[in-house]
Amino acid sequence: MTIIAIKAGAAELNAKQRWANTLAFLFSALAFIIGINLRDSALNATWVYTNTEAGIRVEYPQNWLIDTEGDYVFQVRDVSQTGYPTTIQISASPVSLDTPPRYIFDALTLNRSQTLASYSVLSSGLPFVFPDETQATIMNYAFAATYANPFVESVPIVVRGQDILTIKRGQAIIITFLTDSLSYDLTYPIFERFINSLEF
Amino acid sequence: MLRLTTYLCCSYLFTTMMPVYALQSTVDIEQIERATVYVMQVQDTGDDLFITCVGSGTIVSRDGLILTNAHNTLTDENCPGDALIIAVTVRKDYPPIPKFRAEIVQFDIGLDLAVLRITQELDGRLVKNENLSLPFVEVADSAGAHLDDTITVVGYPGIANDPIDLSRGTINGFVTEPTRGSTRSWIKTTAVIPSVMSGGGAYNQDGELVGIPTSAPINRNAQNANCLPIQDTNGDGLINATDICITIGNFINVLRPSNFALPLIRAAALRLSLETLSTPFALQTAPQGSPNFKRLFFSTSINEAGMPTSVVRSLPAGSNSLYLFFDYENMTPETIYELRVTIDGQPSPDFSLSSVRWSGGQNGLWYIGSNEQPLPNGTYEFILAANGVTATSVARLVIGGAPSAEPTFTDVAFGLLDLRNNPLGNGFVLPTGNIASARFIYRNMQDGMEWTTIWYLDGNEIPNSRQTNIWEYGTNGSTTTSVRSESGLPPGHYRLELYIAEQSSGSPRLAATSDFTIAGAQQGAFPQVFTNNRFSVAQDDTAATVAPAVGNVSDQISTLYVLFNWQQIARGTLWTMRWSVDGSVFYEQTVPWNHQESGENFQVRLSSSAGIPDGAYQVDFFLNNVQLSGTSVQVGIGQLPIDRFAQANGVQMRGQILDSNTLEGIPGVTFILISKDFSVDEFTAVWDQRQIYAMAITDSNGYFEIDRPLELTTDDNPIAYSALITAEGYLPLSADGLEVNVTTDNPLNTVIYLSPD
Amino acid sequence: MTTFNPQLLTPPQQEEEVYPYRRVWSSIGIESLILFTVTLLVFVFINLLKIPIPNRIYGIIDSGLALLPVVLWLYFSWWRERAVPQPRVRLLTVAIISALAANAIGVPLINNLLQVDRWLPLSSAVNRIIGYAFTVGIVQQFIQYSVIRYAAWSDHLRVRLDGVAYGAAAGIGYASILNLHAIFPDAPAPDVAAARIFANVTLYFLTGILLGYGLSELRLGSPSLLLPVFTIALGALITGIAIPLRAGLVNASLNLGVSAPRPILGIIFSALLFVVTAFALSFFYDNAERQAHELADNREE
Repeated sequence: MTIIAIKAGAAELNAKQRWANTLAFLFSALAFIIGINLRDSALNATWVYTNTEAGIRVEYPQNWLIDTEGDYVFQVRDVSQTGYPTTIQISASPVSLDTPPRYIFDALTLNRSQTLASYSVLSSGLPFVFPDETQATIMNYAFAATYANPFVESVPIVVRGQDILTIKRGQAIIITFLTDSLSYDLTYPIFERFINSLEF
Repeated sequence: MLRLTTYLCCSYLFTTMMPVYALQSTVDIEQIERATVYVMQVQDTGDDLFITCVGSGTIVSRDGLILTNAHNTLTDENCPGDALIIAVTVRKDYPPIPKFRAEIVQFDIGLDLAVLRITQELDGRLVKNENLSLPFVEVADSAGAHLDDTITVVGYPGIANDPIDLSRGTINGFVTEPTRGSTRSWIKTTAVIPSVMSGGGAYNQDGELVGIPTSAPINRNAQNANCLPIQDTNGDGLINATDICITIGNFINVLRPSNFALPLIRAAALRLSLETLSTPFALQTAPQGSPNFKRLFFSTSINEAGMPTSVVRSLPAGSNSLYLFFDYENMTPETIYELRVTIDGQPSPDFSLSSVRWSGGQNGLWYIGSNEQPLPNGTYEFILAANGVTATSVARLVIGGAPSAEPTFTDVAFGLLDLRNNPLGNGFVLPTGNIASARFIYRNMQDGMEWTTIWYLDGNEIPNSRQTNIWEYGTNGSTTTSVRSESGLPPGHYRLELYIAEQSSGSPRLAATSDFTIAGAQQGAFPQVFTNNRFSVAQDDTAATVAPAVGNVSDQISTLYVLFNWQQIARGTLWTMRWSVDGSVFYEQTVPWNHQESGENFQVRLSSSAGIPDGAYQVDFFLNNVQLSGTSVQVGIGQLPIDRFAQANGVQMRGQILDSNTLEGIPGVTFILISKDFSVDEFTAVWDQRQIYAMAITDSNGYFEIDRPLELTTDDNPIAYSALITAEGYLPLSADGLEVNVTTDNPLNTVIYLSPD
Repeated sequence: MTTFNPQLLTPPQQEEEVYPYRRVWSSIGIESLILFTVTLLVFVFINLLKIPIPNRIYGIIDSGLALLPVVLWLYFSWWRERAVPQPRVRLLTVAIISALAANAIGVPLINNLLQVDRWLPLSSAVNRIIGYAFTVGIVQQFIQYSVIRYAAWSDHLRVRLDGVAYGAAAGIGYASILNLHAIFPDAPAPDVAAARIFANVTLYFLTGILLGYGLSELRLGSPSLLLPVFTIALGALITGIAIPLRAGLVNASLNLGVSAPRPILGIIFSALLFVVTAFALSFFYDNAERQAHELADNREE
């Protein structure tokens, strides 16, 4: 049995011990970086949606529910999110050359105020530029999302939304982002990546 | 001992191995209770909403059509409100909670039925009906109901903290009236139904709606009206008689058969509306007196035109068919009438008709009766009342003993005689001409007896038509009688009365009577009343009158016109226009003719805000219940689109999702039920909405409901669903091969625990 | 003549060699056994005997359960050091620093930066193992390694079993913080809390002991340069496997009735994992000790 008496002052590391410790630190850092990358690749994984008829190609988050049957070009929702599922939607409607973006936003507001509770426009007319230099306009708004089923006791959720409107080839293309107001800052980067991948 | 042990063991094993099937619920009460709503008519004063009338209603389609009564929803002096609020039962055993606003889309004042459509949330936001997935009930064919069938009536019994309630009873009678030519105008029940349940639903053993409890509207200004003031509507700080009160009626024991509601529901579901564009000749005048009943008599049966086949003064023992006929005057849709029947001086609820709304016209011939109930022996007394005032004339009848052998005339039918003296025609609508003939059957007559014929036109005896003759046609057989006019018999409402002189007293007794109509030009023995019937499509009403007739419309249209010419229809003649699509009636109305006697291009417009649905449309025209002509058109593919949600059958799935750590409900979790054609792996490979059968999100307590019923799996048609629950922070749950069958509980309640990682 | 020769009535006493250190393995074994028993009893009371417990006292019971491992360790490990000639004096320091590091660095890194809740539960089985290993596993292993390395190295690693003791101390400190996070703010049902606490304690005991082995071997033996790396990696892998595997066993299976979790499987899994891994580690320690003796004996010869 080896016994080592405790002396005052710590024993010095030998070279081997020093290197071993350094390697342990390096390994841990490397593994942590791998962990970060795994997180990023999981959270940022995407699938591609292409609609040749509408002339749209975009990458949307993987495992989001896609719907192409409504009155929009397509819509994706994060149904694994509790509360209000974060939604990104692209819709298109014909416009004339003279139709100003403000009119389209006003029409949206009038329509939504009929069906969305406490619908409120926060800001409108903010300029936006797509990565491919396409000019667009932004409208920010909020409303209280309620559930259609009257037999359950659902508390309305405050939803923040953003519409990015651009007019191209005689169409008003509106990209809508809706999410729970409490997680807006957390989920907005997802929308940014979506916008950056959008080709139309 | 060994044998006994073996036997006991085998018995035990046998019984434990036998599958135990849950008793199948014959009526899905929970589904029905959820589909039953509380209807509040309110008055919008600008600052507030005050309740003016209340009742129950039933959701009959998933997109928000509600069937209820008209008297507590239409705006009138008894119910002065101008908006409708719909409350639903969210928690059983608790009062309903207002959730929606609705509008009347179809109604029939006479039938006292109305169909509402949910249009707004309570706060006024518009509702997209296609996004609603409300629980609803299926409306059955009420002709399938029988005496002694058990029925369950569901509705809200009161205006206090009353949760939804149900009352069970049996069918103890049917009442027949000339309403829409139906053999059952009312279903009577032994169930005790509070008046606020009026407008709710009565269900058969299969959970299908067969009747609508209907109470008579309460005149809130009547002295003995039970009207409760519960709100300070005039803002004076007091709740008293000066405030708008809510009327509460007495108990109900009659149901409107569901078959009367089907056309209204169809028209509402198809969003069809009809409008007569031709201007009336003159507005119908209000009655000039109080309601009155006269010329009460009995018959044992009615013919296809709604006329008595005979007139009887007594019936033998064992009879089960009896009709009371009477002429009525000065009746309005607001008139409340009732029939009180006593047998040997004792009130008979089985044969009485409690206060109901009048569904006939202003003046005419009416009947109340039944042919499905055995009539006990006794002396019957029939007393009619209108608006609480009993009629002066009382009808009496004795039932019992042997069949009567007195002389009788029966089965009067009208037409134009051919060379062999046979009346030709449809029996009850004759063309204009100089002569009208009637054929009738006689029995037990004796030559030498005195008999009399009297002909009437519009209630007045035709001059020189009364003829008293000596009988010379033998004991039994048939013969004819006629009325002539050199100047011609004008179009109008005619009546023939046949009398036989009593052998003992010599005074004439009414032996037979029947009404008929003369209208239209002569086309052989048949009247040509409605001609050039056609459908047309045009941009506007004027263009439609000259547009060519169409038999097939392939384009999407929102308006369809029907036009016809008419000849010699006297004012006041009851005419019926019946519309149907794919063989199902969606509109029928009988009104007195109120236009010129002859004319062209009578125009009716059918329109729909959502476009006229594809289908085969048919319009038929009747006079006095006799079909005279019709026309049809095919729109689109000629068949209504199949509503994949039309069925209410299936297993209703609901449940709660809990956190396995805290055991509390998790709000906002999505439960995905994947279509039977896909597995979880196939779905999660693409996450496509089209693969989803239904989806639900949990509420603040973790409860969720799947809004589409799950189809039952059978040996012939196996159906297995897949399910997936995924929520951030929790391990997902999924399963394939989920089946429901006839033994599955309905509704199916599941409890799911999600585990945090 | 009489002579006085005193006769010894008792044989001469031989001097006994006193073991100067606390028996670490036995302490760990006793603590784990008591914890397992308590966990099992709570499970039986609530799930089998269905004894109702009001929700409002969940927090009190859970707090007691969370503190139980600490109390056991303080008594059987820390307090008993006073009774031996060569006590391990830095045990409490290591435990406290480990707890503080877990709360200040570990938990925030995992929850806020790595956000494992958002992506790991929804990943496939293999991805979950890899993901947990490179996130939760590597963070907690590195923190415990650093605590032992800088709080107990090198003078306090006198014998290899010191590595066991300090590793266990680091583990109990780390696990205690995770236990407190598990019961606050939403106090789960006591059976769920007990199962989770047992799982945390056993897992972090094991990984701490593994790290202690690496460091003590580095201090006392002639291991490879990569031994500490290996212990960190192996500990992370054990964590990466244990967390999803346990969760998968506990997680309910979806059906149309009641889809309830199976906590008993999690308890059994944690117990089995602890027993098997502890025996394996004990073997490694003994083997290393034996090799060191043989080497020393050879040198003497």
